[in-house]
Amino acid sequence: METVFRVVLMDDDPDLRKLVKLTLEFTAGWEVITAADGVEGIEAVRSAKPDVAVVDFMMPGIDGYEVCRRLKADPETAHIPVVFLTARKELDRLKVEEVGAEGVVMKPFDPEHLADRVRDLCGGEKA
Amino acid sequence: MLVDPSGDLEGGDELLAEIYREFRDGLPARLEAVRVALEALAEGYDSEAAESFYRTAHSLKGTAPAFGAHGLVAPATALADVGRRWFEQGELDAAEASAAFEELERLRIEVERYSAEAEGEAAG
Repeated sequence: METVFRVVLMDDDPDLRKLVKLTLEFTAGWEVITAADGVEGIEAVRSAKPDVAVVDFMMPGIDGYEVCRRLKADPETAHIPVVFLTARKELDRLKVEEVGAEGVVMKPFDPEHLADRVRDLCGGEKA
Repeated sequence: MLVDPSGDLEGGDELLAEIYREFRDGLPARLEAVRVALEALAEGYDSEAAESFYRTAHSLKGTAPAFGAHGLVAPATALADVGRRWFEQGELDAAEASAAFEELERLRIEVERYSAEAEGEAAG
C-alpha cells in the first residue's frame, strides 16, 4: 500500500494556507493538515503524527521558535522534522539551531517548489 | 505569478482560481485593518493597535508574492518594518506616522492596480 507523505502546515494567513495546501496536494500528492496558530498546530502534530511540520515564524500567540521547542521537547513529536517559513530579515540562524529545526524556507517562496525544498531539508525520506 | 491560476494544477484549476479570488477580494479588508490601526496609533500609542498594524502588514508582505502581487511588497514591507519597531519599542513619533500614511496610500494604489489586472486576467 502506498504511504502518503503527511505535513502539518502552520501559518496565520488563511489565503497563504489555502494556496500552499492546494499546491502541495496537487503538485506533490501530499496530505496537508493546516493550522492557524502554534497551539492548534502543536495539537495537529500530536494527533496526526506527520512526516514534517512546516511552521511560519510569526504567528499570534506562540511563535515558530516556541512551537519547535515544544515539539522537540515532547518524546512523541521530537523525531518529526520542523521546517520554518520566514522572511530573511526575521531569520536568526542561531535560534533555529538552538531549537533543533531541520531547515528554513525563505519567504517569498514559490508554492510549486515548496515540496522539493521541504523534501531536501528532510533528507528526502518518504516524500 | 508563481502559480498560474489559469491552469497548471491538474484537477485543481477551479480551486486555485477561487483561492486567488479570495485573496484579491480580501485585500480591501486587509487595507482597512492597517488603516484603522494606523489611525488609532496616530492618536496615541497603543500596544494592541501596534501589534495589529505590524501583524497585518507583515502578513501581507509575506503572502502577496505567492499570489503574484509583487507591487504590494515594497509598501507592505515598509509598513511592517516601521510597525515592528513601534511594537517592539512601544512608541512612535508624528513624522513616522505621517510617513506610514503615505506608504498606506502607496499600498492602496498597488492593491487597486493588482485587483484591476487580476480581474482583467480572470475575464480572459
